[in-house]
Amino acid sequence: MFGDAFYAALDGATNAAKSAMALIVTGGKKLVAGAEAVGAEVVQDVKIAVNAVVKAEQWAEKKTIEAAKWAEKQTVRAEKWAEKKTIQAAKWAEKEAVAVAVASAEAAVVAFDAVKTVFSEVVAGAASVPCTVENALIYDLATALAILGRPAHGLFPKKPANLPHDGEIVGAGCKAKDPNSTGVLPQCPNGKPRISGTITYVNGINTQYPTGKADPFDQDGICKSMQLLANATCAQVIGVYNATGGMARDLEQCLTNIAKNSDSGAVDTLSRSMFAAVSQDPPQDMTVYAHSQGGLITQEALADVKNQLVASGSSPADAEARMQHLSIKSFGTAEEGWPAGPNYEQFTNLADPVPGAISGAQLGYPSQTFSDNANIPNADRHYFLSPHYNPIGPHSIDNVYIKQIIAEKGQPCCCD
Amino acid sequence: MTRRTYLIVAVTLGLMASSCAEEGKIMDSATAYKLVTDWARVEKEDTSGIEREANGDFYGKAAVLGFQFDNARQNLVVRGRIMIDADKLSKTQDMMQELHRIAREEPDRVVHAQFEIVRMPWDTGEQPTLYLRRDYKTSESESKLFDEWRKLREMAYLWHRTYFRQAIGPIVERRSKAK
Repeated sequence: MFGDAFYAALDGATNAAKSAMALIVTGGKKLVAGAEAVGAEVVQDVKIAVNAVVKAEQWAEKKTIEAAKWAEKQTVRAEKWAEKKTIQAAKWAEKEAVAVAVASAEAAVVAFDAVKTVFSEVVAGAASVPCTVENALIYDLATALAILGRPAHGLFPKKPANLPHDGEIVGAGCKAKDPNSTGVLPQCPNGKPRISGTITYVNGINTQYPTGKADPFDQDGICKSMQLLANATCAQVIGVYNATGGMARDLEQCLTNIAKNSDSGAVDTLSRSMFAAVSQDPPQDMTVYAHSQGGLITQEALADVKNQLVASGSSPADAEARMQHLSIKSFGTAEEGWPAGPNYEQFTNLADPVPGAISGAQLGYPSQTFSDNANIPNADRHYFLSPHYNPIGPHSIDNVYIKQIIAEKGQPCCCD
Repeated sequence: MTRRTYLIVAVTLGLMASSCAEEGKIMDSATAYKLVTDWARVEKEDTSGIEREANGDFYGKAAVLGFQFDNARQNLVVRGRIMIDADKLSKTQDMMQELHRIAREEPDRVVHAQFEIVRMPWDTGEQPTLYLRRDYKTSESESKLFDEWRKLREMAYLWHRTYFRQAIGPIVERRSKAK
């Protein structure tokens, strides 16, 4: 009854709807406490909405006009749901003055508008559907987040100039590492750990550093992540602590400091560690794992390492050759803006709104972002989908990205 | 001209004169400190990073930039960071000569700032840092100053990201060919 173009459009629409739903379930429902506020009702509504999209996809496969009509019906339903939740979120945000909830509300509106548009085009038999819907949604989320940084909103508290432990090197026992202590080793209750290399880990936003905690699993924070990484990779893990000023302040700093700031304790520490490795003859290998804002910190540190090498007498090409000894694995962070030279591997959860938000912010600064931008092969860019009801859940290094490392690389045996 | 028009013109000229007088004022400690705290406020930072001394001097960082006021010289220095651990640069003349030449002959490439290697109290290492520096001996309107400071911050970042290597790379290559 319909041509290939129609079915392509319908498939595109259902995919876009899924993407939009993923954003709403996660980023869109980044209602932070908004989720708590609406509680079980939201969860139920989200399930209904997600089921509706799944059904839409199944119907799309049948390639019937009924599917299109049904999709339109579901779109209207989803739109009503969105409006309801948006109003709830906005009311809650107004009441609590929590910035992220505002972003979620705006993102939800954007997402559902896009869903509505796409489905409408399908029903009308549109020949094509923009394949950039998802990117547009992410960009709009970034815009929404950036808007929150405007002084007029006044939602972010002032950022303190000096944060304790910023840039500190973290070792075993959740303590500052000294030359005689080790990093965090894999846990082997009944044996001896079999260490495979060393990883330097740079944490992201809103990460605690519960200094001296004997049990790393006692409290979320950099030490827990380091232990999980050690267990997942069999490596000794050394932390470079990127101090937190709180979720809202960190998020604002993460976005508004893009293309402005190369200046933090964590940048300096990481830069010096990497320069010490690659400036030796022969250069030493070093592996860095960076999550979220830790990725931006790593970018600045890498630019600094390259400057230092050139200032030391290496030509830019020689500097990049030395930097090939750096292996950078990034999680839930910028996909662009990585200086050429090191070997990169990226892990991006498609349900995680942070990488898109960073990309959106970076687009405002093309010369800063792309003037020295490594060409990372697609094979080294790992995308996966891991949605969570908890709004910040898809961004978690502990519960999402480290699990993905194990899923892709396998769980090695770290104990003799 | 009616009396009303005269009045409007007189008030306007008065306001302009008042504004100009403020802009040309010698930079004293109170004025400089107010500028820096207003800058921090506009950039949504607190001023806990600024240290004031009894003699009117102050120094510290706010919204990425470094500030240093010398009360004896009535001079406010604003710095944007390019590269840490820059001791190696001060040991070789040709690199710094090239940077100073750029600042002198192509001021737009550095938003009319100067290169400087110095160790400031907020620097994390033992070595000095390479900065872009601008000096202010008289105050300007806040909007003009803050615009300049934003450009200084952006330019220092661009030098950190790429411009430094673009400027210094040819010197290194010339050196290796000469060997």
